[in-house]
Amino acid sequence: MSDPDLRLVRKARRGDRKALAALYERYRSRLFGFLVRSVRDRARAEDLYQEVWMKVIGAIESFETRKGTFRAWLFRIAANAAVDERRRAGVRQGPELDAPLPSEEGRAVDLIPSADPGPERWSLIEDQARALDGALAQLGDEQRSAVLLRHQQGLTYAELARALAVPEGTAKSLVHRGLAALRRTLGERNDA
Amino acid sequence: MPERRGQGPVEREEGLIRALAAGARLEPPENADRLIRRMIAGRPPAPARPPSPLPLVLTAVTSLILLAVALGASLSRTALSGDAPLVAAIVVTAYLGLSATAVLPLLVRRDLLRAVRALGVRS
Repeated sequence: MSDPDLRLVRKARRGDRKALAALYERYRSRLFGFLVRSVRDRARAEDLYQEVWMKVIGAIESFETRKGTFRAWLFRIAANAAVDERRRAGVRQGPELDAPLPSEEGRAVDLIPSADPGPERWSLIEDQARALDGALAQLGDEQRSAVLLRHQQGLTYAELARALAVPEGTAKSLVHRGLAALRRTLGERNDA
Repeated sequence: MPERRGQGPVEREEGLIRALAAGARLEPPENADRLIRRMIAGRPPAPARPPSPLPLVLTAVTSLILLAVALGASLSRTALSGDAPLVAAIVVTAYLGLSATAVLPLLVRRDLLRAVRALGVRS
């Protein structure tokens, strides 16, 4: 765990609200970014966002720092919540590659950094993001979480293993296979 | 992401990773954000954990054993010499000493009640 997290978690466990608020500040936008891309629906991601933070706030005192980092714990809760939500919604298989996201607000274009790339690049970026969303939706829940946590959120493989409750070797394999599946899907799409 | 013609595998891989990293941070909706912040601000401080009674108990027990051994040795020597009043004085001193040793560690602790509760004793 990075030092700031460790210090903040220890304080938060003792009931320090400022420390908990600081942890929230550090992870609020990252968690929402992960959830939006996991469930591909901004409204559902919003519900999950609240659900996850409520769990975190309620359970922070029982979090054991020796059992892994805070962010691995946080994203484990988030990944489980996202999987449960997808199962509840019956979204086992994603929509077709070019289908728009279910919610207008959750368009793939929202996932692109806010710097204005100019009108010509914009449509290309939007197209790429939409294609990637579609390809991600075709992955299994565990693979998608693994790819997003590793390459979107930058978790180490050790943290990823904690977050997914799998051995580290399995975590690596999930990421590599997920990336390979994405490359294959996107390659096929490009060739079509 | 769709590959563009002329891109090599390395560029394609980098492009894919870059695309995945895009959107790592998304601003949460204002109402959800406000709700969570309110929850954090209104969260009651964690109740103080009762101190562990183990050190207290160990201190008392060790003191009692040491005192009992010392007094036992002293009593044996005095009884052998046949001095009855001195034996009585030692017995009274031993009783008071043992009581004080057992109680003192409890008295010096400010969290006496918490320790007693942790031991499961109702006052």
